Amino acid sequence: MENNIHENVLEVRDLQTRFRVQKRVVNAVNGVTFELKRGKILGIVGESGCGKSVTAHSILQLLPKVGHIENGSITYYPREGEAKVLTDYGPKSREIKKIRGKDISMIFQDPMTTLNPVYTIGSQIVENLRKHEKITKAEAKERTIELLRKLGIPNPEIRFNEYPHQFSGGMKQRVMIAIAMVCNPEILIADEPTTALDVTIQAQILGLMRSLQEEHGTSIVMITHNMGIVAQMCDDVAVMYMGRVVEFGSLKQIFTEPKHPYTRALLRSVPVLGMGKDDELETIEGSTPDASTVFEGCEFAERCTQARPECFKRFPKDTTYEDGHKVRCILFEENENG
Amino acid sequence: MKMKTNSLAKQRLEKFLYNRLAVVGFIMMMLIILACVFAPILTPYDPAYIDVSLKELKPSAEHLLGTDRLGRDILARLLYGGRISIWIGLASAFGASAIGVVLGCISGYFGGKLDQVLLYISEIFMTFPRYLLVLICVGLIGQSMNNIIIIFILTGWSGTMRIVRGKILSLKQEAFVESCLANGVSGWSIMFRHLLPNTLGPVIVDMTLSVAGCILAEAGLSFLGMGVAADVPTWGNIINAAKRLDIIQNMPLLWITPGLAISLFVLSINFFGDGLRDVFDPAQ
Amino acid sequence: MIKYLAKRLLQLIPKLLIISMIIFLGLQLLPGDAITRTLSPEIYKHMTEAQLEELREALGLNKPLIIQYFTWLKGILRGDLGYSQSTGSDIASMLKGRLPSTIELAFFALIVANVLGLLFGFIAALNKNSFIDYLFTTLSVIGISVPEFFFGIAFILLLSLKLGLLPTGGRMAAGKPGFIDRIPYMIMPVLCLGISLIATLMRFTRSSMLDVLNKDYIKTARSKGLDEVEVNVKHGFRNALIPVMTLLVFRLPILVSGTVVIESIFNYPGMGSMVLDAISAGDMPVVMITTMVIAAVTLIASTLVDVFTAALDPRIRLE
Repeated sequence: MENNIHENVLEVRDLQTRFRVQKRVVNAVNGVTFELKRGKILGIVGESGCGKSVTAHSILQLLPKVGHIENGSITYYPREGEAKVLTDYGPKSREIKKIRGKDISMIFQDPMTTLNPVYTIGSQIVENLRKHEKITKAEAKERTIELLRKLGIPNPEIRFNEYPHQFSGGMKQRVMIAIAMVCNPEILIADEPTTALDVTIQAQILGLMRSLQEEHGTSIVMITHNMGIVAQMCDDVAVMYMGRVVEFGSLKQIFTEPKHPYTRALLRSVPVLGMGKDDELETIEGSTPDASTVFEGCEFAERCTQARPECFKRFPKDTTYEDGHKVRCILFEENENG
Repeated sequence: MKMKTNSLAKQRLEKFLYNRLAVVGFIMMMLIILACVFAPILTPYDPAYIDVSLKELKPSAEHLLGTDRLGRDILARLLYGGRISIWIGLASAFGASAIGVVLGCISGYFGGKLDQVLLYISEIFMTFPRYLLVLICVGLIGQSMNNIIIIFILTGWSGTMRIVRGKILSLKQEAFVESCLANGVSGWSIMFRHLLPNTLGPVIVDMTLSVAGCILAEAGLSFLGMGVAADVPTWGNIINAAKRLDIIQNMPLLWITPGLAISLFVLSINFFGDGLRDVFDPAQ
Repeated sequence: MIKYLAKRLLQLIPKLLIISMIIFLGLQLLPGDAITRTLSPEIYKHMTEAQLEELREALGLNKPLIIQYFTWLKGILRGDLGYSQSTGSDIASMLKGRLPSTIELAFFALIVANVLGLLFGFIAALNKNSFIDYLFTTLSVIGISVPEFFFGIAFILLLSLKLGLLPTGGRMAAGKPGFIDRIPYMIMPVLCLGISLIATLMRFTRSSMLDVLNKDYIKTARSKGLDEVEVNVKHGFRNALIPVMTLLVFRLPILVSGTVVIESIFNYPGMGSMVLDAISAGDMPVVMITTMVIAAVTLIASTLVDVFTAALDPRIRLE
């Protein structure tokens, strides 16, 4: 029995997501590959506009109208039953709707706007539960109140009947987590869940996510631009730049032996505990190019301190090490060859 | 600085030209206005000249749209009638907007009791059926073109006032007002030189659409026989003469042509106004 | 909710008072004497100057204006609306037959306009930039541009005179006052009165709906695995409706104004045509009192729409 369970709960292969804005075509995600291990937390990091959020939305096909998955596959391996290739389902198909909110659920960046202002928070949580499970209203309410209590919302019986505008930002994000977790999904996709919150609230929310994850064995995809959150929460890390994963590895690999110049630059730009007061933080020169730029070589070459003439002429290939560490950089292709 | 405003104006013009309906609306509107302005050149007939021997003629080379029951040329009446209808629309909309802008500025900038009172009055105006108010005023001060314009102005400022007030309130929060105050610029100067120009976009859009509204209102009033005196040709008055069932059936040109004139003109203003709105206020 | 309703109804009172004050002052401005408006002209004719003076004293017409106002207001509330100057009949009984027919006309126009306007706007928004969207959008601009009386005349020509499907005007056939029998008489007036409101509501619903569809909570609804219908109606339309209802409050007076024109075209015996006849006859007391009644009814209807909006939106309700 144990052996039948796939080690990975989610596999993304060569994902390409394309946006069409007034005849202009933008490849927001350009051949992204990664896997999420069962019961683990995968962090996807990168600057804004690197395609990490689009990647997250592609998984449940929650892209805006102008976006669509052009290529690649996303496969979900449930704990029980057949593997499901999510990219085979249309964004409005019955199959994907069955998975959304039940097997895979999602929380978004800004809790101020993600809750419907005209319904009570209780009904918004119950809605998800009753969509996917055959239970009575009373049972659903009971379970919801229980969950709200577990999420640290005081007086959940009263707050069940209150509206989003009566909640603070942190409380709203707890409600969003309740909506996402009420059906005990196998995968939770968290798209910058704490970016819009105060720092103290951030820590509470992350703590809650961690404890829920440990209790239910949920696998989490954590989208963030914050290296601190990655270090605190994640087991594996994918670093994205311009719609591509430039480096993938375990937390330890990424933080102790970063390979890609971009990853190293990212790490040097974050303060680390124990840093001397004279040690300077570095910045990455230049800025992220426009998303519609056409490249002939490595996308990062222009800002890279170690770029060679070759880097501008051809795309780098993925280099995979025996320990699973992957990097997409010309410098390391040679290392492997030599 | 000059360069920048130029490029912004150019950008807006380009955006406007991109909207084909708006361009068509603008051209149609200008054509109708020009045709009415140059009525004496376009038609040899006097719109008021009565010759019963020429009554109810069918369209012909001499009378392109025929004549009415009193033998007046319909085309001439349409063109001259347009002058009055359009003038009432323009003058009323402009006057009402001007009052609305001034009151809106005062209300938004100074706030307090005055603001509350003005807001309350405008609310009463907006919840009151305006047409009935206009009818009462017409009943009290009599039917004439100038009276109609004055009544339209006095009953029509509340919408603009609310737009300007809202805009000023939000602009007041912005940092440049504070920096003006810190530099000793006076309140009135801030209001009229710095805040007002920023509200003009939506005001112009609103004014355009209110020209359309006033023309429709005048037509309705005249249609009821309550507008400009019946012997003055306006689009509404011409239709008013065609209210009887036998005329509706037997002389369709008499009511269809002025009806189409009003509809086309208002339609082109609305297309034009929508285009302006897209340019000035993309959020809407 | 009950608290909100009570609050709105309380706010109604000062507004109604202000309107009545304006009308009262307007009446004072009219030429002639207040006594001519409180007495039936039949009685007035046969009275001597001394008797009139006595009556003035008795009715308090020599007292200060403010006291006269409250006396007048008390009369109004008891249904004592004064007398018409041209026909001599009492205004309250004139209104009795006409008020319900105008309310009926406006009510059905409101219902038709809401159903069609909201539906078309919703469909256009969901099919943004499609043929049907362009069609509805263009039709709606035509709907707000063509004067309602032009539609009215065209309908009469086409549906009554040419095709003979509907009566050209009136409210009912002789001896057939039943609701079903009246329907053919209502179709054209209701439609003409409603057209511009249908167009306005369609445009506004479309843009409001497009706005809402871009909101994050729509994405949340989808992420729960809800059906498109649930997403668009329960989460989308319900929210899109709120600003549309706010707009409707400001459009109600315009709808009511329209009844004057529509009733005139279709010879519909309502308040609008009553006002018009009174103006033509120079009968200003009738005009003003009728206007006051119409304004009061409009204000109450606006308040009801406001309350409905609050029922839709907890943020308004709970403030």
